[in-house]
Amino acid sequence: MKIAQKILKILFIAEAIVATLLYVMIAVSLASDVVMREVAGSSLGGVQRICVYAMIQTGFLGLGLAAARGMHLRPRFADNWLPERFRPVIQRIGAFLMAAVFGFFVYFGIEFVQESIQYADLARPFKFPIWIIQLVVPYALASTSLRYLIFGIFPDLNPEEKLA
Amino acid sequence: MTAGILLFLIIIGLIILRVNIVGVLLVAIAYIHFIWGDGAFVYIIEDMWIAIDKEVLLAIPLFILCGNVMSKGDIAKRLITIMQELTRPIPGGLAVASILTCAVFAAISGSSPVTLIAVGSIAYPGLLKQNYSRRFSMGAVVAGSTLGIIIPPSIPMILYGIVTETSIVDLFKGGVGPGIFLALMLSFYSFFVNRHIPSQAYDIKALTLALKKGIWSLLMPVILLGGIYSGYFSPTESAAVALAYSLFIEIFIHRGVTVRDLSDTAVETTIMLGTLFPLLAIAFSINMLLTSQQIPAALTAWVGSFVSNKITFILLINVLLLGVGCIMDTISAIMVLAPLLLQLGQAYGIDPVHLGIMMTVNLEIGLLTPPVGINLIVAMTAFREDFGLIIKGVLPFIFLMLAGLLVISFVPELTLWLVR
Repeated sequence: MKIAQKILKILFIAEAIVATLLYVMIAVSLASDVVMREVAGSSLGGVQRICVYAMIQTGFLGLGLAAARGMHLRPRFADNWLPERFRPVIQRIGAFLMAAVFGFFVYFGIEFVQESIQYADLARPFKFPIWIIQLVVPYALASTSLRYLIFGIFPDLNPEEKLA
Repeated sequence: MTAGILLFLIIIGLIILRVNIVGVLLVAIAYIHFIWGDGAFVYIIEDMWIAIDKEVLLAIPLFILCGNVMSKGDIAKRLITIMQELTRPIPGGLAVASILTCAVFAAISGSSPVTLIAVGSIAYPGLLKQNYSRRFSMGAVVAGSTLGIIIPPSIPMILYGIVTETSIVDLFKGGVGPGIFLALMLSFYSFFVNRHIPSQAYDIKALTLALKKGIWSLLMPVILLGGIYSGYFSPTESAAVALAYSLFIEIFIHRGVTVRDLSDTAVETTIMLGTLFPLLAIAFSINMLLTSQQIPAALTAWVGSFVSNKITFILLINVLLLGVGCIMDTISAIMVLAPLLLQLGQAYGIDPVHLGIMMTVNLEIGLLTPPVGINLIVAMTAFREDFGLIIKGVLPFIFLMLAGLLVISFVPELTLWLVR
């Protein structure tokens, strides 16, 4: 359990640091873009596009971070349909199911990246291979799946649900 | 038909097993692709990528960041002081001030729970201290904060604009009239209920001091909305400017936030985005598939076969959305229903902007209705109050907002006067 706890912590810290740095980049770039437009009369070329790619990274990293904090939205209207005593079992089955669902889509995330490599798709505006950016898709799905797998095996590590 | 029933049962089963909405939608879309599509699941990921690879979406994380920065800083506190000083001569002035502060804060933040925490955490204890009833005070801050999604900028409106390809600037313009109308309704009710609470004389000195301290906060909605409505900024640029401005005033003028606060804010924003973007992406993928199978057109024809006029249709979608608001969160409801309702609405001659605003107001009320009224749950957690008390508190406001919804639904000019 200690190793699992450590894995969760390392994942969270690493993803949070990357996301924070990307936000700093987005905020500074977009604000500079507006300032440049006002001061120099022309925007910084391609800044919004690069920020979109950065935002996609943060969005996908957020998938795992939200799972780590128990912040994903969940319809609650059926919470009391089964007796309360089944709650721990239900939560565990739910965690394993989510691990399976996200794990299932990791495969297709990899296929998606492979297709981009195969077709040599390029990212605008600097024309570098887009698959480098797209790697975040299978990574985020895998990291989320791993988290739910850990929550299924060690229910004590499953965070108390909070509202997003 | 059997496949459809099976899909419904699978969804219910997953919900009973407490699978989150992202998981439920992923299973649902995989099933739909498998049964009605060509079974190529990689298309789901491709559609998800296309859904979020859009410049206009940049506004969302920036507005969330901005709201989070402001809720950690002093902006809400200074706004409420100004409103309090301005409403002194009105009986029940602090209650009116709380609603108006929610409205002004909503014009900066774009999110109802953020408005509730930022304004409510100051206004609620203040109201209790001045002997306003606990029930009313709770109702006022919880209901007032729902103005966050109807007064622009509004994250649900941005999402509606994206999924229905409606101009976000037009939606923001459309939200002004209904937003002000609802704010005035809630303020008037607050005044009426508390008319027995004695008014106070204007204190020019205190008002000047409050304005001096809060002028930077007051300027924020002016810069933000003025920039958007004048066409000077796009919604994304305005979000960037709002963030830069809020960081500037919180760090250098109010000196209310620390570096630690800012890094926490970035993580909180990533988490919020992580709950929102997968939903947007999956809903987009579902909508692509539904459109390719001509489901919206079939639905329009089916509804048209028994709903003969616009009035009945408007009443029907309001009932539907109010019901949906009770069991679904705002974001999921917009993602899933907006594209379907858009086509239906257009068949009955409803302007897409008007439909978007009606949808937002319905779901705004949904923030106050159990079991998934987010604002109720946020209030319960943030203010440690009994759920029953919160429900009793918001009930009169819900009836008031329902009356407001009817006016907004049947008087489209209230929404469209700035758009046309």
